[in-house]
Amino acid sequence: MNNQSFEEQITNAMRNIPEPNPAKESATRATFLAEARHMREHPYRLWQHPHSRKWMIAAAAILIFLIGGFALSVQNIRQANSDATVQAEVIPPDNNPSLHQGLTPTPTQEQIGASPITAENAAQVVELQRFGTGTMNGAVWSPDGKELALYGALGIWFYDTSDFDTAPRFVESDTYINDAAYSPNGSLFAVATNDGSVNLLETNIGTLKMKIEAHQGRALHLAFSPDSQIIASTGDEDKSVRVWSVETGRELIVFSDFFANPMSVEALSFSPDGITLAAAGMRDIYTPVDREGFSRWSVQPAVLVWDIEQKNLVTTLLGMDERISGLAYSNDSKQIAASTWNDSIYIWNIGKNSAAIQNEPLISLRDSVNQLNGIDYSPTEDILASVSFGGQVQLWSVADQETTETLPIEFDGEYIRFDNPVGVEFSPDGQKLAAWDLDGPVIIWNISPTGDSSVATIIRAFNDPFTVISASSDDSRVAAGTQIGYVAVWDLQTGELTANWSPDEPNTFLYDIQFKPNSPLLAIGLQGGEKGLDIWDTSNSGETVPEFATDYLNPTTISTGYIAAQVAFNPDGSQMVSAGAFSEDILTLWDVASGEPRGSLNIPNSSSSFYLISDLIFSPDNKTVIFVQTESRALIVWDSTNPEEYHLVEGHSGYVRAIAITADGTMLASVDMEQNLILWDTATWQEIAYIKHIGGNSALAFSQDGQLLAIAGYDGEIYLWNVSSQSLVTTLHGHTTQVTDMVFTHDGTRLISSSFDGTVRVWGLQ
Amino acid sequence: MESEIQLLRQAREFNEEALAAIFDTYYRPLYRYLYHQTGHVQTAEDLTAKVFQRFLEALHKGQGPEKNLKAWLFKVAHHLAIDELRRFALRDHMPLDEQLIDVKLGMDEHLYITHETERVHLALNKLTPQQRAVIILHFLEGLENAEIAHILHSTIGAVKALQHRALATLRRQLIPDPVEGEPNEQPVL
Repeated sequence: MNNQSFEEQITNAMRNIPEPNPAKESATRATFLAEARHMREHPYRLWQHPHSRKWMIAAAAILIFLIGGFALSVQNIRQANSDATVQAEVIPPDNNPSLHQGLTPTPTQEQIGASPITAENAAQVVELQRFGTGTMNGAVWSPDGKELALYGALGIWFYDTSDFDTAPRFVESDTYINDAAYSPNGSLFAVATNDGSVNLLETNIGTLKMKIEAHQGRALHLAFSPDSQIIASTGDEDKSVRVWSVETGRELIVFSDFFANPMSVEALSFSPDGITLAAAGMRDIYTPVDREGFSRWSVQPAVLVWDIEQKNLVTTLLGMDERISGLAYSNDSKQIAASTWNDSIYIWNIGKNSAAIQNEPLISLRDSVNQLNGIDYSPTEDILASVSFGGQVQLWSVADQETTETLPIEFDGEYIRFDNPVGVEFSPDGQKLAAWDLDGPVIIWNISPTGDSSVATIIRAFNDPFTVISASSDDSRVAAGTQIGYVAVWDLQTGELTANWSPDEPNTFLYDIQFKPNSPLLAIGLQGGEKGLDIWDTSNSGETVPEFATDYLNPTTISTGYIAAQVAFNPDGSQMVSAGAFSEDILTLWDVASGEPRGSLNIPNSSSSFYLISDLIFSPDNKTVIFVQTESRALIVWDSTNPEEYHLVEGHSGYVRAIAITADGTMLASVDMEQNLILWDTATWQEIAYIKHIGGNSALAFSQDGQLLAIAGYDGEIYLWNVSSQSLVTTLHGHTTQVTDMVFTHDGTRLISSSFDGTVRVWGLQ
Repeated sequence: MESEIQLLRQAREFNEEALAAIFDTYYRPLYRYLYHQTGHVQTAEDLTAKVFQRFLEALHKGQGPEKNLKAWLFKVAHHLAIDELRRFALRDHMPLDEQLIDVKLGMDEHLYITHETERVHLALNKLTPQQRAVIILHFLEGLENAEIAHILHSTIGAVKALQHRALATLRRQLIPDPVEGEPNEQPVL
């Protein structure tokens, strides 16, 4: 191997990857050919053709105009009525990181479901409680600097910048918000949403002024003109930039067909002088003769600049070698800066009246660290701010073409996890800077002209997406964990956040959590923390916390020690089984009292130790453990009383994604990647039923009587199926994106779900 | 090239044999590319299926590749991979869930190759998606720089620069610093 060149060694290593599943490949091929047959038999109709459709839409628009104007369908964005309904909070920097209480009012006892959920009454199930504040997408300062609006998966939080400790005013949105902007005169607040609309809110009262059905697909970006009279927006599917009258909602200009593909429009900005509008994206570029002597079309990152009055493209700024992540005009409108996915900021000079074209960048500032995610010009100084993956926030002197300061990411020595900042914006007076992270925190700095800027405030009002949940066996509390390792515990009766846990170290990854039966102790499986299998007393009960002797277990590929990818307790809590991530010991059975291992399942000469266990159940019979691996079509059933005994249960054509067992242990459900579900008789491991295309597969949960099965979908919906009739009873709508985990409370009255939207929701009968 | 253009012409008529040939030719290379970008078998399989679905949809609308089918398919794959990475930040949270052992080898060789392969995969994982794309497309799939530039919406010069920087990063990751006083050995993965 050492005789090979470095490139050959890399190439050979790259060839050594897992083969795709032949059955899946075959199924994909069959589907591909079947769809082709269908398309051959159903040719694309004329009206479906983009150009024909454009003309037909134009004709329809003219007709509508002639008969009397436009009809605007206005969908309400609801405003939370009072501060009492808003529990998003600002945590002072000197406090520990915490997750946050629910957005919805704490329910009264009467509101909490009193009857068990069954197949018969499932159609009446509604959302009772919600915990967590959702994920956030961005932040924007008001023109007078008195407010900072943060927008996310659930709505908009307007913070008073003179007092970040006061609970923000909250406006809820029923659609996902991709971008937001204040009108420069401060009277309106606009949001671009996943349903393709641009919504204009009155900032003083928070009510909806106008909903513009702006784009096919999603509306991605927004920008107001400096006179607040027009607003521009971009869409993904229609690849267009559209300009609208703020007063009437009428479409004034459409810049279409400038971008290469639906996902290619990356940013949008109005020049401060109001003359031009710039959009960044991927553009088809024709090169008459390139360096190799060929003329050709290619798709390149580009900033397109239009003259708004003339309604024409005045320049295309090129020269970048990566996708664009951010775009900003200088305060005097003479420069445009773009940040890219590699590590560069490009700056162009824009000529007087923007007519002069200089499409090679004037300056290329190189951040030697990491991918840049966003930039902003100071409104008062010749300074640019940038954020990059890894958490670096830097200030640049444009004149000197060098970085002047790297802003601190700590406060009084406190570690602030800020790994994935994705945006940055100066306050209107240039004295503050806000940067925000995908995982929740928003940091606000006081910017110092002498280069010693400091953190002024940290807002931790947002969650990372929740991926796992567990309910205590007395149904008094629910715990939810996020991928980066935060765990929150809420009291299910009062809705209060009672405890939270965070890892000691950065770069952690949380796999699983599980309450010990009849106990407040929570088992945690974590990678990157001090321990890979930890136990946390969620209520400081004083119960003895077992220390598990994981030292002797040999991880195969990771040098950081044993990591529990899944954990499960037996019904009385005396035993626990853990699945090792990257460990030769696939399963380990523990005596909980002593922390000593009682046995392990190790499948010799098997490559399966390289798989992760993706779901694991300790059967109510106290001895059987059932689990599935990430790349397996079989369930593995292990007799924990006889560690040598295991057998495979086969029947799925796709990789098994999730499993659930009834409370009496007689029936198990498993669902695969193709969304096909099998119900198994656990006495014989014979199939009871095989249901195709059930609508979801990210999590399963049985009701306490075993007659209702909850199935979580990628789209945020939860499907409730009647097990006996094998029919869909109802669909629960609420989460705005993928549901990640579900559990029924032990009294059967509530179903609890977690989601990538950053919330945990409690469902039941009112 | 002529045969590919002919194949594409037949594909536009939804000729089943032509489409099957296209599928059989490109399924594995696309899967390989998407696997290296996402690090996850099922995600790679799902995205590969999506590439072919996009291909059919494009043909159905009278769009799709005119000449370079391979570059078109990889371009779609690249977009899907980037979207996936952006959506779930898979690079940072990717489990090592791959089966890395060739069953025909002995256990010692298993361990050695597994270890070396993992190191390469981990090093690849530290590249930016664009850098990784250049390495995979050039070295593994044998694409020309011009084709890669088309796929990545970039220029040939930029592709060369990306490749240079990616290789430099991989070398830094994979080749140990020489011990003081000893000559620098051949690269050892």
